[in-house]
Formats: sequence, structure tokens, C-alpha cells
Amino acid sequence: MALPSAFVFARYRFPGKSLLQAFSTVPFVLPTVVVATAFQALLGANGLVNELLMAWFDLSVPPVRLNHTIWFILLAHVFFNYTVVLRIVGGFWSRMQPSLTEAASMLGASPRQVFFRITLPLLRPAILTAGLLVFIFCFSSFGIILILGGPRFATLEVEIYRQAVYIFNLPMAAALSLIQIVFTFLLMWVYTTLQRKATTTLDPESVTHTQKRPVGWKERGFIGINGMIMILLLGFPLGALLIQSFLTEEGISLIFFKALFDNPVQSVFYVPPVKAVTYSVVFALVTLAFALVLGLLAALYLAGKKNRLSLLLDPIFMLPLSTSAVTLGFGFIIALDEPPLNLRTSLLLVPIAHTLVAFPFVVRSLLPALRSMPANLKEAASLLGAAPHKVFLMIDLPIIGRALLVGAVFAFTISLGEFGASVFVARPQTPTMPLAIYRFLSQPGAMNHGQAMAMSSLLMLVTAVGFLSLERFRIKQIGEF
Amino acid sequence: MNSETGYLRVTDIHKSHDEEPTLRGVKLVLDKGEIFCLLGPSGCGKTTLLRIIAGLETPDRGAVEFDGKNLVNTPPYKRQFSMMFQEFALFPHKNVAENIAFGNRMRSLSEMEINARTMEMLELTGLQGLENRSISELSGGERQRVALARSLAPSPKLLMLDEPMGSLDKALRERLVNDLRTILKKVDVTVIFVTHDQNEAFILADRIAVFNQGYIEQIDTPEILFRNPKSVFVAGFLGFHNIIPIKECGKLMKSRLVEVGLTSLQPDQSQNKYLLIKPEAARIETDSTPCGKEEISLSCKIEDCRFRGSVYQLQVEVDEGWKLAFHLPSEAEYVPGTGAELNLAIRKNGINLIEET
Repeated sequence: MALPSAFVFARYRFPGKSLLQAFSTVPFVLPTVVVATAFQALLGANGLVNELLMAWFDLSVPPVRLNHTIWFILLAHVFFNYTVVLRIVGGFWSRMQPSLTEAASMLGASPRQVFFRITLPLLRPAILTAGLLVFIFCFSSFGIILILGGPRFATLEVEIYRQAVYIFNLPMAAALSLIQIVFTFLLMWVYTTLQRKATTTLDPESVTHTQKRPVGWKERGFIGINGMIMILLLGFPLGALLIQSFLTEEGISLIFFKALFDNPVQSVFYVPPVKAVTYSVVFALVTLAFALVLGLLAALYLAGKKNRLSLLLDPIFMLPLSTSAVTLGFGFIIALDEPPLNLRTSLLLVPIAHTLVAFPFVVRSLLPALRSMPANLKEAASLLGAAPHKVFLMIDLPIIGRALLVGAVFAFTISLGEFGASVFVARPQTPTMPLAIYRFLSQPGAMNHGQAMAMSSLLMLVTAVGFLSLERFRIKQIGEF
Repeated sequence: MNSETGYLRVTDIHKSHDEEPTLRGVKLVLDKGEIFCLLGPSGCGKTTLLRIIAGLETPDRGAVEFDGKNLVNTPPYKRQFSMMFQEFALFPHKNVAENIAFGNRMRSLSEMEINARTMEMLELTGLQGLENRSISELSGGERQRVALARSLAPSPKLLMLDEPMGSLDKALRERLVNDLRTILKKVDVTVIFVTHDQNEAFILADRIAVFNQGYIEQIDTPEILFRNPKSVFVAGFLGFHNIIPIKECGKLMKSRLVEVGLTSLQPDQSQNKYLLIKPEAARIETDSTPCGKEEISLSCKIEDCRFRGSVYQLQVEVDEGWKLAFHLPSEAEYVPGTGAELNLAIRKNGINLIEET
């Protein structure tokens, strides 16, 4: 589905493009819980579509019964990964010289032939890479399946969670985690190999050179249809989420949002929802600090001298990216539950776990900036009389400043939306926003449902704002995974 | 070349990269105010030597002394040297003036002194009006000037230039190399620079050290270097083609060489001796102008003769089988055609003897 859009983005300039492009990234960066909730809001039993259809056709039973079906899960995953394909293939496509296809058509190839004989083979590494990445993401997907799938679709991830938390069969969970790690690691290895290929085959061409304005109704129509599909696929679930969070039985109101600030249930474990927001933000800030410092140190080391250790550390630093959050969280509770490092009850455990998840993203944001900085800049500064700490402050830091900011936003938003690991490590008294949403969703009642929607909307807003500002700071190449 | 009072003394430097020796016992002595050139093909170790003097790399063995002080344990930022890098290494996040001011700022001069010095440098390098430009808006030539101004601004005790014209295109190079010489002479600074371009070396340098595979083959002024290259490598690198091992000379030729006094030949001594015949040393023998006393006669066959503007370029094959190249004045009365067989008379003072040790 994403390929036509990739083409549109790669080859054309049109008004509103950057907006649409930024919009297309939003799903990917949204917390899984929000995505799951959004799909519930649109297509679930009490979802917008069902309610509308029921109202129009006087039905007593919801006609769209997607709940707990494989299609529901699939659809959510397509939504989630659309961006991945769009980014990778689109980026690759936009750097492919038009002269290649022009040469082919001069040699007598029809547009069809050009596409199948030239464009597609050249794009293949990028498509494979994107495909594999999507596969990895889906493989380790947890939140969506847990919320949308129900007990019938126990994937490895959900099973680990069930074994560990409900049945308390720790050895079984550990074994499953191990399988999960080995498998994702293998996939990740294949992915990095492919990615290397995808980046070396073509001479990069400046992007402005390869893009043109659309001409004629055919091309404009093509772009229009693509835009529609994107809005349909990406916009509707999110829109539904927003609508549902305002729509109560008495009409539009802010009641669900208001409810977030009350504590109506007198449960011991119950924490006022608004507290979850506070916890989330505090955790995210701590994570931000941890991840930035650690990430900066790691990136500085990796960007420095090439030796055996740094070659070995590079993939190891990426491990948290390829292992799933559930495995991470599970690892945390079994590794840190005994003295001398008994952190299970510590508030720090959540930021630490989040740091681990965010760490590879920070390193990946910083590395290209550090690596692209010519070594002789520092040498020049040094020769001009700057002591090493001054070189760092006056040369390194300002130059990688933007990348640092990108890494910071990554760390912050990842911590905000993290679900899989938090399920394990967060204590009941200190839930984060995604956990609170999950709790609301797993309890019956319109009020709970509405609050889940409201909380999701809030979370969506925060992350979206974070990432849209990140998009503006984005320097070429930074954060390409 | 008073080596006792050397300003910069580099002794017996050895340096290996990945077990490959890059420098093998380099030594040189610089005088204050001198413009010194390290000349050699790429990969011969000249840039490594520069980086060792700057303190950016440490030698495996050997010493760098400056003004009587050993620099081994002085980090680069305390040496008060300046280096202009091949790619200029301008700070992309600072504008022209900030780049130039950087060194003085590090030396904690007052704001007024810094500004005055920056303005002075802008004027010296002809960059007035560009001080607030960002680096990315500058042309290659302007960048070079900013880099030069930045290196000169803190009044370095030693200025190092790594291929100062290296990243400029050829036309720009020729124009700027003269400007560079003027500026360097004006500020009276001690300079050591690296280049692979013989022209640049000749225009800029007071003295030149020719590098070959981590080793200095010869240090001399441009004139002496050109008139009297001391090794086959130096002669070849300076563009001379007619280099003949004496041991390959015929008997007649050898005795003739002794006759004109070029060499007092013992057969066992001819092993590492070569003749370098300058291209302009030949004239065509005629009946009216036979080979003179101070000349050596070569009988040869013309392979090619081309008009090259100021000279005719002659390619010949001599009887011994060597291929030589000569220049004939373009106003010559007789120009031989391809295939002609004739005798060339070579001036004695156009022949150099190279003795390799």
C-alpha cells in the first residue's frame, strides 16, 4: 500500500507535501497503546463505525465484528508500519537518478518495462529492507495484540507476558524470551546486511534534482488518490479516537477528560489518572537525562577510533532495538530483584528500563552527526589553542547540537509511549499513561472506555507534538534506521 | 643553513602506521623566518611529519625541538603553532570573523585586541566585507583565505600548511599561490608546508626537502635542487627524463666522459653513478659545427619531433638503446624529420653526475 505513496513523495513536489509527509510519520511514533485504542474507537464493538451503522440501519447487533480477529490486528499493523515503508523506500527512491529511467526509455523501453526492468530491481534492496523491518516490528509487537487480539491470538510476546504475570511460570517465560531474542537478533542481522546494500548501490543524487511538479490530470489525480488513501488509513482511526473521547451518551462533552482528574473508585490500587500523566512526564524527563548522557558517551566512543571493541559494541548497543520491550521488561524484573541490586520496588526502575529502550535511538541520532564531523575541525581548534574540554564545548557540542535535540525528543516520546516493558517494571501505584489506558480498556463500562479514549488522545497529542517538532529539526540522514 | 642555531629541529623521527613504516629517520632544521617546503608524492609521509611537528601524532622515536625546548610532552593546544588543513577545516557553525577570532579567543585576549587583530587579518587576506558571511556561502578561494587568516591571527610561532592549494582547482591555484607568497613574506612568519606540486614548492619555498617513502632524499634551495638533484628519485620527481646508469654506457662514451672531466672512472665505482642530461643541453652536429671540446657526441635516430611553442620537443633513441628527450630552440635553422639519423652534441655543463649512496 505504501509503495505508490513512496513514489509520489519521491518524485513530486506539491503544495502541502511536507505537511502530509509529517502527518504520515505520526502513526509510527505513536505509542502502540494509542494505536490499539484508536482502532478500538473506530472499528471496535462500540466503535464509531458500528455506532453509525447501527444508528442508520437500526441494527441491534454491531455489524462489523472485527474484535479479536486477525484482520483487526493486521489492519492496525498496516497502519503502524505504513510509515516505515514510506520512509525507507521513499528516501531511497528520491535519491535514484532520473537519468537511469530516462536512459532506459531512450533505449526503447515502455513505461511498464522501465518500471519492471529498471526501477523495481533497483528498489529491491530498499523494499526488502523495509519489508524485513516491518516483519521485525510486527514480530515483536505487543500492545496491539494484547489489546485488540484477546486470548485467541497469543503470540510469543503476549505469551511471555501471560506466563510471567498471570501464571507466574518464570522459567517458561524465560525460555520463550530466549527464543524471541535469538529470532529477532537473526532478523536484525539480516536487516543490517541488507541496509548496507541499500545504501551503497546508487550514487546519491541531490533530491531537488530528481523531483518535479505534477503535470496533467493523470499525475494530479494519482497524487490525490494517494493522499486520500493516506488520510483514510492514517487519519480515520486517530480521528475516531478523538471523537470517541469527546462523545458521550449525552452528546459532546468533556466529561471523560474531567473524569481523568477524579478518583471515583475507592480501590487501594487505584491511582487517579491524572497522576499517571505526572508519573509519565517525570519518568520521561529522567529517561531523557539518562539516555542522553549514556547515548552521548556511547556515540562519542563509537565515533572515535575504530578498534575491535567499538566494532563489537556497535551491534551490542543496537540490541535493545531488536529485542522486544516485553523481553526487556521481563529481563529487568528477574535480573534486578535480589540484593545488591534490588530495584524492583524502586521508582528508578521505570526510567532505567525506558532508557534502555531509548538508548539505541539516541545513539543512532548522534552517530551520523559525529561521524560526519571532519576530524580536522577538532585538530584545528586544538592547534589554535583550545584545550580538550574547550574543543568539546565549542566545536563538538554546537555541531552535534541539533542531533542531540533529535535524540532528546526521541528519548522523551519513547518513554512516554513505552508499554511492553512498563507492564513489567512499573509498580501498580505508579502507572504511566499507556498503562493507565490499558487498565481502563480492560475494565468494562462506558466511563472506562471513554476515559481510555481521552487518555489516548492526550498521549497522542503529546507525542505528535514532540515528533512534529523533531521533524523540523531533522537534518538529512539523521535517524535513518 | 646554520644548523647549530636551528629554530625548529627535528631529529631521527620514526613512525609506523599499522606496522607500515611511514617515516624512517627524518631529520631537518629550520631557521627563523624561513619558508620551508616538504615536497614529495602522495603517501610519502610528509603530512605525517607535519602532524608530528604539530603534536597531533606522536612519533615512535625521535625528537622535535623548538627554540631549544623539547616538545614531546607538549599537547598541540599549548604549542602555539598554527596549521592550515588541506580541506581548511573551517568551523561550520561560526561565521568568517568568529573563525578568525577563535585562536585569539582561546588565548584570552581582550575583546578589543581580538577585534583589532581580526580586522587586520581580514585586510591582509583581502576579505574585508565578508566577516559576517557563513562558511557555507564562501567560494573555494575565499575559504582558503579564511583558513589562512585564521591560522595567522594568533601570531603563531610556526605556521604549518598542509597542501595549501590542494583542494582548489588548477586555474585558481596559480593565481592564489602568488598571493600566498606575498602574504607570508609580509607577516614574516616561519612556515613549513607540504605539497606534491613542484611549481608551488618553487614559488613559495626558501628551501625544499624532497621526500621519498618516509625518507628525505635532499634538502636544498630550489635553485640548487633543480640544478643539482642528488638522487635519481629527486631528478625524476622534478621532471627530468634523461637519466642513464653509467655502467650501461659503452666504452667509447665512458672514455669520453673521463676526457671532458665529468668523472674519473674506475670500473668498480660506476655501480651507483648516473648521468642526468638536461633537455636543453643538446644541439645538432653539422659539418661546419662538429662536436667541440666541452661536448660529448651521441649518435641517434629521431623518433619524433614536435613544435611546442617556445621549443621543439625531440624524442630520440641513441645507439645504446636509451630513449632521451631534448629541447631545440624553436628558431633553429634545421629541424630533423622523424626517422632521421644524426649526431647530437651534448654540452658538458648540461650533464650532471648523480652518485647514489
